[in-house]
Amino acid sequence: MADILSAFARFAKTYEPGQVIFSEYEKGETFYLIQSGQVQLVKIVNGIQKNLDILAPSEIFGEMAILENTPRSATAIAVDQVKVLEFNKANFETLMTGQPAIAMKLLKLFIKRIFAQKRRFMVLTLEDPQARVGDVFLMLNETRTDIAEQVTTSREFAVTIDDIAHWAGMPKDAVQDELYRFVDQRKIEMTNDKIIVRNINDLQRYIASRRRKL
Amino acid sequence: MPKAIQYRKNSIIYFQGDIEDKIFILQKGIIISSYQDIETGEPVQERIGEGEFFGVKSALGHFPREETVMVMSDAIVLLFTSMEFESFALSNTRIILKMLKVFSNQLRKIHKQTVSLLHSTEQANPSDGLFSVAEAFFKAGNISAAVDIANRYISLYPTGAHIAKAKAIAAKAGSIPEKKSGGSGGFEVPDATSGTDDKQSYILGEQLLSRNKYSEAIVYFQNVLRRQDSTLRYDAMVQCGYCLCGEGNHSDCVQLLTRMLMEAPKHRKTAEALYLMGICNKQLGDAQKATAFFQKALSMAEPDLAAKIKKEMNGGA
Repeated sequence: MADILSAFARFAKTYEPGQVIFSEYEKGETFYLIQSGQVQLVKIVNGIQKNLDILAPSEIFGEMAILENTPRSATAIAVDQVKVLEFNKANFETLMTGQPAIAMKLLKLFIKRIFAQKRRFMVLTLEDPQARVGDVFLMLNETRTDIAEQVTTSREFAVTIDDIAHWAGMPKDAVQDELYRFVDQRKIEMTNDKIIVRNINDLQRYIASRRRKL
Repeated sequence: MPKAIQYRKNSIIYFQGDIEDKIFILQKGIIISSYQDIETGEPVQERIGEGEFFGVKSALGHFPREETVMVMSDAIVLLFTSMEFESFALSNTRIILKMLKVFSNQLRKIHKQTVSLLHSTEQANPSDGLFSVAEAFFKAGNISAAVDIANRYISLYPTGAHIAKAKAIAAKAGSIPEKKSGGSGGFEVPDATSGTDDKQSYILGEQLLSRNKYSEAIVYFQNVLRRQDSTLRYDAMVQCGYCLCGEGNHSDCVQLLTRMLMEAPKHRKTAEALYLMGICNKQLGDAQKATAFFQKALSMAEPDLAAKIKKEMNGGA
């Protein structure tokens, strides 16, 4: 791929280790394809840095820049020396036409984002706050790929109350109340660093019944 | 090569919820796509035009079908597998560009709907937000990122509410040494090949492993293993084992975990190591050895792990 991409050298940018590529809350008009090096995505949650992912060559990031007037949702930092192709409105068609494999990759990424966004939307359509919190666990469970885990009905989630509040679109206090209700009903267990859903199938049935009442 | 298929009136091409690897293009006839509006739950019907692709998102994304597609009058459709579609589209970039446009519009629409449902509860002011990011990096000791973002704040919001503080952070460029260890939740960009904090490396490795990025995760666990005195040494060995097993490198996994079990037979992750040894031996075709490892693992496993072991012993994948 490096050879083909060299034709687009004029759109290439280099970042030194530790350099910020873009910051959370900045307006985004560009997105990137990593040619070499690694990029770390970080989000600030209540003043604490949370590492979201480490991206490797050939991965695309910042693609949500297509959503006009939407600030970046995370900070991208170069882990080592990083070379990227920078896409913007002006060069988008040139780059995509000249490199259909990148266009296909972006297409698949958009598909994933559409499904993820729709799923999140489904969570938000639930009016019952307890069901909404429960549905966040179902949503997170659906993205898991660990087949070995699927043999049991209990699921562990390394999430914080802030994470759940974000996905459920609810204040942190309200999420905490609903989580305690689940604990009282013996549907979940909470430890310092994880939340365990005792029976994901029971939770699925519960959410389905709440959804039918809409 | 795509196949032309004829469908009779009233037949169903696919149902909502089906999972399959097929993409269609309507050549001739009338077909209707039916689904529920995600906001209201109301049924929606849309006619698919001749020459239009359908089933693309679910096939390429490996998601269940979101709609039921029904034939209203005898129709001919071309059927592609997703691989056939990809090679077709790669030689017809115009099609991908057109789909990118359609999908980016769909993404914008659903994003707008989501934001409106959230009633702006989490829409922080971008100016305050940007400064809070600079401040968080600063407090965590990642001065270069803090300075970089503070400079962005100064240039974007020269009269912003936090300008004085942003200038103070920006002025720190080069004056304060970066923190060397995590300490109070501090974040440092890890260097997987040199002296990074082993706890940090371990956490990053775990994050990558949870996303099944085995080859990348292993680099971080190896970074831990390079430190002979690390308290996470044997935990990292087991995590490396998961990576190797996930990559299908069962022999190396057996070799590594044999070492781990010899050096630390009573480690808290011993049951997991034995479980992995069982899986690897099973994959390597030694069923007897696999059973022995599973039985040993079962004798010391926590309930969740025990369930996984039992599944493996009962012939699960």
